[in-house]
Amino acid sequence: VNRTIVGVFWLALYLVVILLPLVIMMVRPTPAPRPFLVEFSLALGFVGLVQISVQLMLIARYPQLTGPYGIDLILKYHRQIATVAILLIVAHPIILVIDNPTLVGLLNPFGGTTASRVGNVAIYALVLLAALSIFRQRMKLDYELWRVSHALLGVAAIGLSHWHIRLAGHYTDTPWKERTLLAISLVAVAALVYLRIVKPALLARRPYRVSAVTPERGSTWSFTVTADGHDGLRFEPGQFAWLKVGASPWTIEEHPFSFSSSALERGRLEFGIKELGDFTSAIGKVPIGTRVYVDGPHGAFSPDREAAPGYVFFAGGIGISPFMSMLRTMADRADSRPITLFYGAPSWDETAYRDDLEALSHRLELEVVYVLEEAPEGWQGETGFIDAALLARRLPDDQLERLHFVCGPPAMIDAVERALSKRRVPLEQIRSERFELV
Amino acid sequence: MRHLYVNRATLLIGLLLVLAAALFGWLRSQGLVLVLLIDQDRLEALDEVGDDPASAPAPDDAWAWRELGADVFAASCQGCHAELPHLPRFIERGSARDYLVDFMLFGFDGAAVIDGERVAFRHPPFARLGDDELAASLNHSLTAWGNEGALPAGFELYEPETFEERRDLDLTREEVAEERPTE
Repeated sequence: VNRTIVGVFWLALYLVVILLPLVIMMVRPTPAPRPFLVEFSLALGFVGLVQISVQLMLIARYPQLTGPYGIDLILKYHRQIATVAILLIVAHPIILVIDNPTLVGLLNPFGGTTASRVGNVAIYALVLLAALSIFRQRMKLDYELWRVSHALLGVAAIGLSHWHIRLAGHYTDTPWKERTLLAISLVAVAALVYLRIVKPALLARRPYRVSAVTPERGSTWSFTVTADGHDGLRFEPGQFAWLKVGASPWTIEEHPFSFSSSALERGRLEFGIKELGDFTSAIGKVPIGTRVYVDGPHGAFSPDREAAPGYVFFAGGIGISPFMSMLRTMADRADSRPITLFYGAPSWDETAYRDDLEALSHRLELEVVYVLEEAPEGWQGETGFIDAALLARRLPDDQLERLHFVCGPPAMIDAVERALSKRRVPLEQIRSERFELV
Repeated sequence: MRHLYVNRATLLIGLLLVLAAALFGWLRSQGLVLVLLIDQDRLEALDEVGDDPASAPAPDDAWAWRELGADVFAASCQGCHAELPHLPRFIERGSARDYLVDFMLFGFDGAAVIDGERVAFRHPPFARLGDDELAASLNHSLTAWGNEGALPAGFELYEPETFEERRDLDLTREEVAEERPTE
């Protein structure tokens, strides 16, 4: 099925679900009309709750849902819209008190009614969830611990909200209305069960084994796994997967890495991994034969998704990984379209995969423009960072017809996007991969 | 650049949610409801029944408060009040009939003598509920838990109109406290 049609279908279904509570609360029988602010605040509470529930479905890595957009975009949207939903829910009791200041006692966590106390606890859970997400890195909170707390607080907030609604009554005094609202949340919790229990069970049937861990330049490793008893997986060059290394498929410890191998090799998957944290710093010591589970493919950063007469790639540091997969795949396919790769690296000695790129340039219409922060003596190439002046010098003449792919540190992506914008490259011609998955 | 689309989507969906909530607020505050087709069929069937007294809807004077009263009490009162068995005795006090209406509409903040002991307490106002909901829940409280048999002879249950009339008094909680009838 056409990916655009699937994307439009999910978007339409999403809009129906998030507005459904307001429509059903309008259906007879309804409670007696109350002032605008009271009804408005109730509506904010309802749409906020459903929006929080829907988040569990968005992050369930359900491939049919994330495929058209790319899970990186879905996760970014999740972070933003969940914040909006929490603000709407917080506004619900505040507007009630603005309308009738004598209700201020309902905000007291130890006073008010049972309904208000339960509602308050739900709001505290959501605010705590948001605070832990925003300040996790500053608080140096363990990532796995944060993930567990994130799921528990989210589900607790949804459950408490339904309890609050049941106690408060009014619109949900009609059983079918309450059941409809509850059904949305139950489907959402089922999505979480799918992600954490069902999906790992499916992964358990398709294990991989570590077959090579090869050092590259610049503290980078090529981490290769081979399918164990099955035919591997089909992916598009540029996509990524979550890896569970040497642990149960139900472990919550997993790490996202881009494929760096050719998409034509389904049973042998290679990932480019740079030593950046606790797990990646020890990747070189993972024994050959270690069992690995691969949750993927994910992402929409792939030239396979749109035909173009040629490509301009911009890689910064370990952002070269997905481009290695793209270039290797195109070479295996004997693709003759022109490609220009701008590759920013700290120094020549730390430029990962430069030998592979040299070999690939003989199999493809590939021009590699290295941009080094620290150039060695006698360096004839580009130095510094990728900017508008450099692009003016080195971009190919047919550049405006090509698709532009950018992957690297956020500052580098911003700089390249600005430079391309100055070169009047339309937004639709630029694909960026911002790795903000953790 | 795809990520810019996410920012725009968040902005648009956020605005959509707030605007939809505002539209809901306005429509509901104006008393607008949606009638399902199945409800419409039922209403038309009732119209077709015509003058058959056996199947005609209840007349206006037989106000159907029982189910509504139990629902409103469960939703709005039960969190604090499990039962109210003292109401039949309280209603016998001089001005208790109107006082209970004001108490429910405007709340209470002051002192009262309960079981011979003077205590200070507060009660939230429930003016946000409809007149029919308030009258139904008060009738429920006056008749549930065996209260019905303890009511004074000839006692007339409340009608929504009583709440509608007294709603305009717009009393403070302190004024309601002063109005409380003594034994």
